[in-house]
Amino acid sequence: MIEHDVAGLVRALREGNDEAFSRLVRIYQARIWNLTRAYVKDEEEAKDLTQDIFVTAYRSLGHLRDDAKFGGWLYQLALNHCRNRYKRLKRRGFFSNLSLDDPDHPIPLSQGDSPERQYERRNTAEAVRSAIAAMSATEKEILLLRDLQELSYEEISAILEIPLGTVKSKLNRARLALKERLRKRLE
Amino acid sequence: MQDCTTHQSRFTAYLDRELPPLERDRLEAHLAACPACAREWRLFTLTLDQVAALRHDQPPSDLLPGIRARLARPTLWQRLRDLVRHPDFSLSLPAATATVVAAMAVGLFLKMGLQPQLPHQPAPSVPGPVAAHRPAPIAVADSGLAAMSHQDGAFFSHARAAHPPMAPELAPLHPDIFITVRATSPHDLSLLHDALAERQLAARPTGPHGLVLHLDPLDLPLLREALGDREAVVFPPESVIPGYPHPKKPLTVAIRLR
Repeated sequence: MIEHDVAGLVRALREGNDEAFSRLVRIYQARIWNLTRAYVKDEEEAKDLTQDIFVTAYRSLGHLRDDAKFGGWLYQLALNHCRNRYKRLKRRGFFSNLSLDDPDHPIPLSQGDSPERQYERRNTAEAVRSAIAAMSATEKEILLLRDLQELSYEEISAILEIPLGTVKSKLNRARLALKERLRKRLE
Repeated sequence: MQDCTTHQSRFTAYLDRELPPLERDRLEAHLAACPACAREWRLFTLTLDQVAALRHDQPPSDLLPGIRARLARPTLWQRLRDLVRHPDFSLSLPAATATVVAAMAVGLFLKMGLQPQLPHQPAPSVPGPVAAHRPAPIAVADSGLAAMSHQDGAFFSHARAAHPPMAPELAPLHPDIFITVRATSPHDLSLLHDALAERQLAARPTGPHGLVLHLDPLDLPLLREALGDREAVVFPPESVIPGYPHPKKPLTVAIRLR
């Protein structure tokens, strides 16, 4: 995707072109959906959350200063929504079947012994999402932005407002932590 | 001699080809000589593959229409502003009248020192549209204190039972927020209940036209979302404005469809 295309769409949206908003949603919906899905794990919550994020983006576009930075701004908005939703769900015991924020106790993953590959793949994906959802907020966000969203270290540093070196060191820790959580399944 | 942990702390830099040549050679030599670290490296790359596989997950097809539908609805703030500008007395007056009459009845009981009516004996001044379905009598409280309760869609007074503890469904309610929603179809109550449930807001019916829920003030935006574009009157109106300093939590919200 070319950044100036996005900037052009944002400018068109500011000028009242609603179709530009639909195009922006189409450009980013898969990425934001994947982010929310991995963050809160639950599909329905992720759908609701994704819609919330785009509605907020539409309504608070006036706060975006540089049209070319729409992507980073949207990710910041998305992460704020994800954090708030995650906290609320956690407070209500939504994740009570997971060992949340407890890196010393890996989540017990069920052994996928089904002969059907599709089932196995889905099962594995759910296990990976569970493991990610149970990570600490910073580790989870860095890992998702890098390994799921494929953003550069510079972009992650700008979105999370942390130094570049910290992004790299925390990313390695996050990857190692996820490896531990998935060990039983991967070995 | 570097230990295994040090080598593993460089996995990401190695993957990104950011290690200086000397360190890269050391790590590669270690991975060739140490089966444990070689296994960890394999698991490390497998983990990244598993995360990358999540990228193929496609969003639901109705995401954009859902966003459009939400944007088409006026925000609660806009609805409140409209209500202030164009008050709809046809909807709020009956609720206000019923509340005032009920409050007067309670005041009269307290002033005269009379035992309040039991739930199966409706207070004369308060109409009870579904009085026949009211629960069995509750033991009269020794304190004689009256409390307002919302049962079967009508407000009435009854005793605060001390012994034994009152059943949850009969416990007195003291709503902090009253919301009267204009009903447009017979399914409105269940639709509203579902909309609340979708947002993890557990509401329980108080009759054919009422719901009650307890929620954190921070969750008021969720309640606003659940109300959607329904026409509603909120009392006190300022209670749902973001930043309003609620004195307690959780809040009890009584919703009534009319």
